[in-house]
Amino acid sequence: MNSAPLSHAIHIGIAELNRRGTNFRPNTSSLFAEFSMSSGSSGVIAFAPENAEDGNRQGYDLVRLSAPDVPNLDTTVSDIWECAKEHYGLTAAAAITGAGGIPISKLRLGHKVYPGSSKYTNLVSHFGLKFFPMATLPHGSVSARVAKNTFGTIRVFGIVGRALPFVAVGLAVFDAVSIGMCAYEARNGK
Amino acid sequence: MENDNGILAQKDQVIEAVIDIFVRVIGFIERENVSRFTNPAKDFHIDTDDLSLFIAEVEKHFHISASQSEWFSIDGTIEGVASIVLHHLSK
Repeated sequence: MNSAPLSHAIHIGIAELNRRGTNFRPNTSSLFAEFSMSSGSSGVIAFAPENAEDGNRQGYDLVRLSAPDVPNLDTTVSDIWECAKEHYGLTAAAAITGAGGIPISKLRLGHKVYPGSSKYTNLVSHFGLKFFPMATLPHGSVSARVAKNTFGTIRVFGIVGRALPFVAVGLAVFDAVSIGMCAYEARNGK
Repeated sequence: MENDNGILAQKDQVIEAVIDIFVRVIGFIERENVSRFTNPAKDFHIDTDDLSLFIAEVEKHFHISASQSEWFSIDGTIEGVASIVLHHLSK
C-alpha cells in the first residue's frame, strides 16, 4: 500500500495546506501525539484554527470520529488498496492532493438528489454520508458557525469535501479508513 | 367527512415528522423557521449533500423508498416531501 508513516503524512498534510494558501504552522509534535493517542477512533481530523490568518497558527481543533457501523474487515491491506484503485481510480497521492474533491454524480454513488439541488458530490463527502452521516462539529462552536455560514453544513465530511484547503491535516488518516470502507462496500456489492 | 379529517390529520402528522427530521439532520436551523411551505433548497444556504441525507433519513424513518423521478416531481417544499411519504404509506 502506498501509504506514509503518520509523522510523514502530517508533514505532507501541513505542506499541502500551506501550498494551497492556508498559513498553518501547528505544533507537529503535539499533533502527532494527538493522532497517535486516537487509536480508539476510526478517524481524526485536525482543523486549522479559524483565525490562522491572524497569526494564531500554533493551534488546531481536533474532531475524533467514533467507529462506523460496519463489521471488521476480513481482508489484507493490499486487497484494500487494489480495491480502492479499481473501484475509484484513486492513488494515495491523488487522494491527499484533492481527488477526493472531484465532483461525482450522486446518483452513481447511490444518493438521491433533492429537487432543485446539485446532482454532484465528491468522494470525501460521499464517504461521510455513507459512514459518518451525523458526525458534525460541536453545536454552537465557532467552527460550526463558520462552517454553516461558509459551506452550508456542519457535517465534518461535508466540510472536508468542500474545502480541503480549510481543513484536512488528518486527511491521510481518514484516507486509510475510507479505503477500508471501499473494500467493505465492494465485498458486499454496495 | 370523517375520512377527510383523518387524511388531513395524517398529513399534518407526517409534515410535523418531516420537519423534525429536517431540523435534526441539518443541525443548524431552528424549528420555528421551518413550515410546510419551506423549500429547503431555496430558502436556506444548505449543502446539497445534507439535503440528500435528509431524503435518506425521511425514507428510513417512514420505511419507504421513492424513486429519483418521484423526488424530482415535487416542488421541493416540506409539504411536497410529505406528499411522497403519504403516497407510499397508502400503497
